[in-house]
Amino acid sequence: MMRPDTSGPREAHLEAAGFPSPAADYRDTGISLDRALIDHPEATFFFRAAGADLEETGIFDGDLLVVDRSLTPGPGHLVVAVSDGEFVIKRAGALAESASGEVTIWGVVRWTIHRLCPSP
Amino acid sequence: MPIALIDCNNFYASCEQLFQPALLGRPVVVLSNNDGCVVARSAEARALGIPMGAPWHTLKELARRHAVVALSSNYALYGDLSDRVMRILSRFSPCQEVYSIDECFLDLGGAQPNPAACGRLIHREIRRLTGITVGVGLGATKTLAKFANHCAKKRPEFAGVCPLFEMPSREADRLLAWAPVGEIWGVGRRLTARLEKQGIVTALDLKRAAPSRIRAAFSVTLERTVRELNGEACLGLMAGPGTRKQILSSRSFGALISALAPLEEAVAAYATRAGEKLRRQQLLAGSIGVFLRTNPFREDLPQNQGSLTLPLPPTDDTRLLAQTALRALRAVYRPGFAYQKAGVCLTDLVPADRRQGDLFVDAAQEKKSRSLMAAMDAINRAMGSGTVKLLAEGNDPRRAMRARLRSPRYTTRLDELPVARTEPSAAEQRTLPP
Repeated sequence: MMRPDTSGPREAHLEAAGFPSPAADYRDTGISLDRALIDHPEATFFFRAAGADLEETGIFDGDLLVVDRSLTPGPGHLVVAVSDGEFVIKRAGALAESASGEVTIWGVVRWTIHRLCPSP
Repeated sequence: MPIALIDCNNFYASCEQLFQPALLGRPVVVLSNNDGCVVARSAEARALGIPMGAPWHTLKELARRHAVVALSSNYALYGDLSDRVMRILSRFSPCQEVYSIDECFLDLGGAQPNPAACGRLIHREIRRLTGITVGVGLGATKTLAKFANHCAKKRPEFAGVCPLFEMPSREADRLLAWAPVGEIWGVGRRLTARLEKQGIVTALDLKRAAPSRIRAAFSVTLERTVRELNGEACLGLMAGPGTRKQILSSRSFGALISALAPLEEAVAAYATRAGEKLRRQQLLAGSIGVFLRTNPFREDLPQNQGSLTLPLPPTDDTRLLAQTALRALRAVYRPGFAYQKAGVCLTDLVPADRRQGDLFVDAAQEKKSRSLMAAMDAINRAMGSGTVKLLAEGNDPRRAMRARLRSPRYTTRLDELPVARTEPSAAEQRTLPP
């Protein structure tokens, strides 16, 4: 994730001039959405949501899903599951059997990222 | 101090099946660059007897009969999943040697009080976190760990994890007696034939051979293998029976090429790829070779092939590599032939930290070259291979890799993500307790 680079020459310059920056002690690492949204980088994968009637779940057509394979789904969690060879979004606890009788959980949907304003 | 060798099962095919669950249980093959030969098979394709390396066009009939799915190599996907697997494995030990895209050695001595339990945990965790199934072999030496891994995969009683190091020696020997000598790390086909002539047929025969006799009749390398089979560690992490001595970048062209100019572009591009590999491994090349050949199966066309190796001051500068490669190409090129394949081979590799001082090399100039190459690699990594390239590489679609059957780059491109749907009937489906 890219962040504006706030380190470096500016403060060195100040110090050279005899005024150590008071902000130096408080400098933080900045905000990274990667760090905020992804707890287990090795087990986290992104999916694209598709379908018309997802609104009751808070997921809309075209949303970006952050899916974590390391979590154990609890009741009410949304999961990406495999049913008849396809990825489907389901609520854990409502995992009905598919035609071939088998549904396996692929990962838990941790976040959905929904675009409100299209890129210019 | 047990060493673990962890190896992903049918890695490329498993990556494809992970993101295309419809392929689970079906015979899947992955094809080499230009969709030429089979480079990976799912267990089902293996069971059909499709051999590794078989040219795809010879398999079309079999493929139709058994509905074999053929895919182009998707290296972006395999590389990303490999990185995930390797990062998880690195948590189990401070000593890790990534041996290839789907294999790695871990030293489990010290860090893990119960290595066999640790092996089983690795097997479970990699599967849970990445969806990839691995085999784990635990042995007292690297050679034995490799062999244990073979047992873990081929013998169902181990369920994917073979703790050879803690088995009673009689049982371990029984496994060695079961395996042909060719299954031992570093024993290739030609060596196997020579060993068999001397009555060394199984892995156990090799273990029991006198090291001095093996050294006299074969080599120091094979003697080391015998010692390793007897539990005497001769190979540290990062060492193998033969260390890496060359970097190769070559490819068949999408169409035959006769003119020099497009060949120059191709060779400059291969030199660039080879340079990237070289810098990634922090090595310098002491010489560079170029080879060029026509299609040997086109008996109707005149045949030609040539190669030339030129020395270099040990370098990793793409500009110098490409320049020298082009000089070699111009020397081997003959007009009037339809060339099918060219390649660049870097040899005499030395670690970059052993860069020799050279009276005629300007240190400032060299530092500049290093930062230029680092910037080029960073941009190409972030924006996709080939974003920044040498002018000499050109842009010839005839050379563009044929990869018509490649699956989406599910894990590295936002516009190629896997799609998850809600079925229209989801709300009406009956609810089961969790």
